[in-house]
Amino acid sequence: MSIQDILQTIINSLPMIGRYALVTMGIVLIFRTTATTNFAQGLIATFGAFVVTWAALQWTALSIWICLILGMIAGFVLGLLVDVGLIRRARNITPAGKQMITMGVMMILVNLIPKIFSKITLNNQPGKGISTNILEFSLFDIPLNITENGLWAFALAVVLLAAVFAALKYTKWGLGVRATAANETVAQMMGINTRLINAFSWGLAGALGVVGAFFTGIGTVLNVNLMSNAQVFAFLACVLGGFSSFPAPILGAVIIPLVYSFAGNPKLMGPQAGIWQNLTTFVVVLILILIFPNGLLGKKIIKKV
Amino acid sequence: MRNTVQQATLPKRRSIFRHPFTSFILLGVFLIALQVIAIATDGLWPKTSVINGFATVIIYAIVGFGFSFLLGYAGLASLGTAGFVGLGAYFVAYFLKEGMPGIPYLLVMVLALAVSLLMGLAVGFISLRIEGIFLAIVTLGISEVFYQLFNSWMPVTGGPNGARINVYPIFQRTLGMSSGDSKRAFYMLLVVIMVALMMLTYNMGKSKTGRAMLAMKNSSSAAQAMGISLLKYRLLAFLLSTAYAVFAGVLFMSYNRSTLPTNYTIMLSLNILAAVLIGGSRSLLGTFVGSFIVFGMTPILFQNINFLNENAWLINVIIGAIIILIVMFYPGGLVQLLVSVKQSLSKKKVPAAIADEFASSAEHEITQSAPKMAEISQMRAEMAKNLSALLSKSKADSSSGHGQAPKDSLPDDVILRLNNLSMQFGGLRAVSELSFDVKRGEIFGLIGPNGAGKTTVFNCITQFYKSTGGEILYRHRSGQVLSLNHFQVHEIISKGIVRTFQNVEVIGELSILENLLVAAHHQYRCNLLQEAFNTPKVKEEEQRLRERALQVLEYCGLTPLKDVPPVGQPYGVLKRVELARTLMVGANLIILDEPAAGLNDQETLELTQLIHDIQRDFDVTIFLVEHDMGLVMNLCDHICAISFGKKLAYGTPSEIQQDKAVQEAYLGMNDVAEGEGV
Repeated sequence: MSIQDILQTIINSLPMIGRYALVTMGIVLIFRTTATTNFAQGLIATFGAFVVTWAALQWTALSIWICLILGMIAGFVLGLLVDVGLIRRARNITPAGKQMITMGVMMILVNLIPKIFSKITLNNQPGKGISTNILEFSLFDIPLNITENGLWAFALAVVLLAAVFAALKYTKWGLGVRATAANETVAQMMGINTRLINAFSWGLAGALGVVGAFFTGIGTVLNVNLMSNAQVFAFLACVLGGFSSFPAPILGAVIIPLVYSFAGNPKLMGPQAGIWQNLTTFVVVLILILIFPNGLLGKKIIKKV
Repeated sequence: MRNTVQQATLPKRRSIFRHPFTSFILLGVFLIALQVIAIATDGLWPKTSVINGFATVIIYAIVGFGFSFLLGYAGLASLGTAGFVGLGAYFVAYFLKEGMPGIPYLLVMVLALAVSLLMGLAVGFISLRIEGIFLAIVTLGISEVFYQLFNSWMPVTGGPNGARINVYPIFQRTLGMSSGDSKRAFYMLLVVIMVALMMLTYNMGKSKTGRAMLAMKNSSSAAQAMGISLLKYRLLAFLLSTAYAVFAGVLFMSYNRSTLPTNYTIMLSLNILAAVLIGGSRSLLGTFVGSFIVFGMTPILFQNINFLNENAWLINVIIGAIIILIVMFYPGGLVQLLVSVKQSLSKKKVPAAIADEFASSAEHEITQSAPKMAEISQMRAEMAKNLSALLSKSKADSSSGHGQAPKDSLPDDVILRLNNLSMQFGGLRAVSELSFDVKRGEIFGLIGPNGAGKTTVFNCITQFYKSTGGEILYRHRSGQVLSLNHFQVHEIISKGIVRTFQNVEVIGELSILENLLVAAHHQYRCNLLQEAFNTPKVKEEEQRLRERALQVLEYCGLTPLKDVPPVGQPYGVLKRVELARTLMVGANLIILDEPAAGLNDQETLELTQLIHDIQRDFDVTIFLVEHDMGLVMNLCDHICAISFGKKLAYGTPSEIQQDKAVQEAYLGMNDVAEGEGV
């Protein structure tokens, strides 16, 4: 591989990094605050992407960005509802039980979404107004390119995540989230409204996921399984980075798309690379996890006896 | 009180109807009857789709039985089940497809199981490095690798179009029956296999293996101290669950003859988890019901309802809602519902009531006077005669070759010697060059201010920590001298050293009696195969140890609580359970980590008496860490005082009380002048 190939492969992974980082952030927020591995995350996001498309078709005059915001609101509300309606009432249930609740939500959404949006056919894509043109540019005289929507995905993810991290670090809400993540009972006793914190985290997770789903939907066929791959990769990203802090999983979400891009590069992996791309990525990521069992940035917690 | 023991040790005569196998067999008869009726009515009722639905339920129930070892017993999370089921299915698909030379079906099955065992081993080893939700996600990744293989490896798996075989194995392939007959016959075979597996699984769950896994789930520290190897039982849990899953995959393909890769996505893993969870993670019938709810309701019930047939999307919405409702309202599974119904119907006392009664009777005894205590102590001495005879049989466990030190490296009267023991955590020296001897048959106390490193010393001796320097020599009952650093933590108990924990570690999901049986883990000799078939030898062994456990409970005054789980019991009871556990071992050296912590004065008095009696009755050495100076000064023959990991003083209680360095460590430099000792 030439340097140009390497750079181009890295650039190819940027849109995916953006999308996955958003979904991953949502999963971490929910896991850290309510100790739930949320298998419905992908479908909540997909629901939002459908709302974006529906809004874009319904009000053709509306800017796609307004539609996206509508979709984010829908994702926020849906996430919030899942927490308030189910997870909040299941506080004393084992993690496996909570996992099952989110699976139940997943089963419901997977069947409900196509029913609700029955008018949106397979060919409707949410990408109205965002071009899929290829932008050419050069870096150190090396010609490179990136799709316009891909650039948007990456840029928007960076902005959104920077905002979330700033909020986590500097706002009262952020302190509340970190306190809840460390120890919910103590946080409650110190006067933090953990219910509000949890509900807002679920909502935010949903909204971030919608942006990821929206950009995933551009250029592919919009269907209910839009995010199933992204969700599995996002979970692996959390483990790869380490669940114990907020930024660590994002590192995982950067590495996995890089691995994916290189795994799919025919110059590196041979002409069959495309067929084996997913498999290669899973294997590489699993090996990395085995080498760093506590995550790249994680610490091992030892119980004292 | 003695009478109750006598009664309990008699083998219980259970009526046939209460035998757990009866329900399994009844279920089997019901399932076979369905097929028989279908044959008799020529497929009019029940419809073929219903029979096929039950076949699916049976196959996934089998996966669930295996999964319950992981989730219900060992407490390990896995989302990799789908991949293993698919592995079994594709094995059959590949070797039995058209054009393959005639490989015997049984050989395919054996091959698939062999591969599953390898996979189970691999995942089991991974589980030692990665735990909890991390493990679940890693297994999810592994399952996804399988899915990608099924989907992409066209020449072998047929890719996205799936794979199929043309003839039913055994009945059509070997016996030459017609296709329809073979299918019906295979259904019967499925039922028989499931009922047989239910029995074997039930036996394994009730055996020491099931208890060991539960111990591991509830407290890995207690499990290790009781001689349970985490490695062995984690591997075993994964081996069993992958073997069941692959086997079920083989059956799935054999019965359905075709499969699609999309069957083996994360959804299947989650569905199986759901089936096990909503049934009750250790209940076999519950798992069957759970499998019925998750996999069976669509083909068996809903498809026969016209409205739902027209609105197919509603079916999974309903199932999803049912799963959510069950998990939220009966987090212990449907079994929990059944138990609460049963309890309200039967007149038998529920565990909570027994515990209350015990607590109030203990309340009465608070007025216990010294003569009463002496009386109890006298009774114990009587009881102990019989008990120590029983225990001495188990003491014979001789030490194997490794870890031995020369016999003359320890004086005859010393049972434990710490030789310059050091333990360093990063930059922190918790114990530094500590040396002392514990003499045979004495009660030895280790004292020191908080953070002095007392518990660290215990953890080094019992190998929970591997010390960074120094040597620990121990004299086995056989006279051999062992260097303990050469052993793994779960091997320590079989050398006659048993410990308790500062923050009591009991197995909450087992009754107090069974908690004691866990302590006898290393004395069981039967293997898993014998346990699965519940051979007479297994029964005899179980009966013998159960009897001993009952006597130990009586000795410790816990008999009324024998069937109650320890969860929620007062600290005093839990501490006594831990002590009782040490008596199951026939130990040579008992190590007690703050036995009186959290006890009130009365409980402390009783416990002091009990420790004293144990030392008197069972020819053991007791080594304890304690902050309650009254207890320490009362009980101990010798005391070692440490501070910041270094030895301050060693001597008799009165010597320690006079020691300037000890007073300084406890009271500070300036107060020594006014201090009246420790």
